Amino acid sequence: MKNMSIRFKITFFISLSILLTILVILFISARNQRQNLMEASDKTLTTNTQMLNSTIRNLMLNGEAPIVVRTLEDMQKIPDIEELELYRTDGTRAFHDYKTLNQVNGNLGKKMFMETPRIEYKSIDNDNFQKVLDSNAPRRMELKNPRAIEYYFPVLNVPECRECHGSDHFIRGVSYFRLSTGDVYDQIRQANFILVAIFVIAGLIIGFILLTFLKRVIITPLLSMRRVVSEVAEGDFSPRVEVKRGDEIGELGDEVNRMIVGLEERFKLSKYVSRSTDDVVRGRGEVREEGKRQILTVLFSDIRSFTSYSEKHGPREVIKNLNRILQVQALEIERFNGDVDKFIGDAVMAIFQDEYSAVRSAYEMIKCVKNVNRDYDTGLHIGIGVNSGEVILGNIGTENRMEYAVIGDTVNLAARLSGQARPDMLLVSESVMAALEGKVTGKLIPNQSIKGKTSKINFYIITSVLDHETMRWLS
Amino acid sequence: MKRIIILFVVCCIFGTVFMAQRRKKAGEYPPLSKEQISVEALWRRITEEEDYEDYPFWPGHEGICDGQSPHGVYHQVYIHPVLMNALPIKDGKVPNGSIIVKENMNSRKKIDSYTIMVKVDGYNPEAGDWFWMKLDKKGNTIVEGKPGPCIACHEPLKSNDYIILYRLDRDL
Repeated sequence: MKNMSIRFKITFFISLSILLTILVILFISARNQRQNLMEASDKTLTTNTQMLNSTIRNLMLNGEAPIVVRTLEDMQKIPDIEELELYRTDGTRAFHDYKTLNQVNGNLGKKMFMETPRIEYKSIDNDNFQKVLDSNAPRRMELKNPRAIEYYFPVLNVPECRECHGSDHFIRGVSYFRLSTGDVYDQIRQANFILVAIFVIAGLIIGFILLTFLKRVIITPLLSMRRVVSEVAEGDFSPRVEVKRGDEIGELGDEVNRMIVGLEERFKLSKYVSRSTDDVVRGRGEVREEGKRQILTVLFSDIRSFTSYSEKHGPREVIKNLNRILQVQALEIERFNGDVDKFIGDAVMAIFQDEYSAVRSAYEMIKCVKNVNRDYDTGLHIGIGVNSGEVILGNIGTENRMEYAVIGDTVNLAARLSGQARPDMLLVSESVMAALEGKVTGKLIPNQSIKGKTSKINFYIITSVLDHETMRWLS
Repeated sequence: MKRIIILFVVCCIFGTVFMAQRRKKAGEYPPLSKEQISVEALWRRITEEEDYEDYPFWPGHEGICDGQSPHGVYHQVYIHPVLMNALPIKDGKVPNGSIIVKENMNSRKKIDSYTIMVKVDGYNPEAGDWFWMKLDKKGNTIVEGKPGPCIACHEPLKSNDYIILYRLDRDL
């Protein structure tokens, strides 16, 4: 789920929510509907039973047994009434013989009621019938197959009945209904079907509207921003987020655009500053206004006779060749973990953490420049000077314009050595030579006067360098 | 807000305990005598001193059941614990102080009236010493005392101490 697209997640979430909501509502509605319909049926059945019992009692009070029989027969023809009977307490059908008639005439002491046609014999014997007799209370049963309700209703021997029937019993008989509820359940099923259809259609419409809205408001802008951010990550700073809205998404788009502008500026700026300056700006390097001292190796490289070259060639060619030479030098400096501190016209100043990296880089720089010379017939060569010692690092300049610079005598001597070096020559100081004992060979140039130095110094022309990887001497 | 909720819950708990303590358990009050019996005394007994809704039902006749005229289409019948504890009764006589409360309901199962019987020794020996009363749903008296129609309807079950719904001698 974590790795799925936001579009899928939103669609899934909305669909699930709508589905659950529909299911819950359907369940509650269907249950309530069933309950209401069943209650209505119950109510009707109860009312009908009460009416029937009242009818029978009142008719019998007048001794109108044939009318009771006719009434029962007519009511049986009513649709949905599957069965309607009146049973005596012994389980036999009322009016099938003259037993009760004879008892009544006996109780009255005269032949009050004449014999009338009897109906067919039938009997009932089940638990519900017996329970009615035991409890003197009605019983109702819901049948599942086929769908029906059975109702057993005691006909009470109320005081008005006792003159004819005697007072030694409480129940005269039991009336029995069976009412079909198939129609009710069909109605419920039909209603449920319509309800389901309505909710499903409504759910689909609502879901579609929600998804469309969310897609428009959230998903599409987010995907657009993602595309822009991807292109920026590839190095293309031209795309912009095209979301013009006043809400949070619009604000996010504006912020992304501002961020892209900032990134582009920074990217461009990074080409004009050294790595150490960049580190300081980013907060990775220590920035102390008062400066700090550090032991570093400084390399200066300078193109020999570049001034006269530039006078003799067109500006376009000059810049092109100059950049070629600076480019290959910068690459070699970085290859040996050096940091291009600055380009000073046709010169390069670089900083290294150790003497070997600087000298090794210098060797490759001379070789690469020779290759450029060969490939482009520039006729340009470099002379390199390397010195190591204590330098001062710090922010030099004003509040509004400053430079993170490396200064000190060590730097000056490196620059002077570079100036002294002939084409394709590498000059190093005594300190560098001392540090590289066994790793380089060089020719001592003793007692030389260097501008800015009061005393004469020794320096060395490097003749070969030991390659640590191949352990071969490179001359 | 949290304090208010805690205070409310504590008050509810105390209130419930207090209200529960106000009523004694059913059966702890002495039966009403023939001098004390009246509609008001009986109604107070079953609604304030005790709570008839805490009484048990006839075994096998629990909750709302089908009924018939002159009572309701549905009914719910509560019997006093004194009566419940005496079952089965083989001599056909329920104990003094037995109360039967019937809620008579309409087809929507809403209470329309109450019909109540209470056994009061010496009250009406000719008809089982029962005090009868019927109240409408608002508590207004419809019949009370020794109503002829009630007694006449129940009379065939004199051997069951005028009780219709349950055979007293039935084993539990």
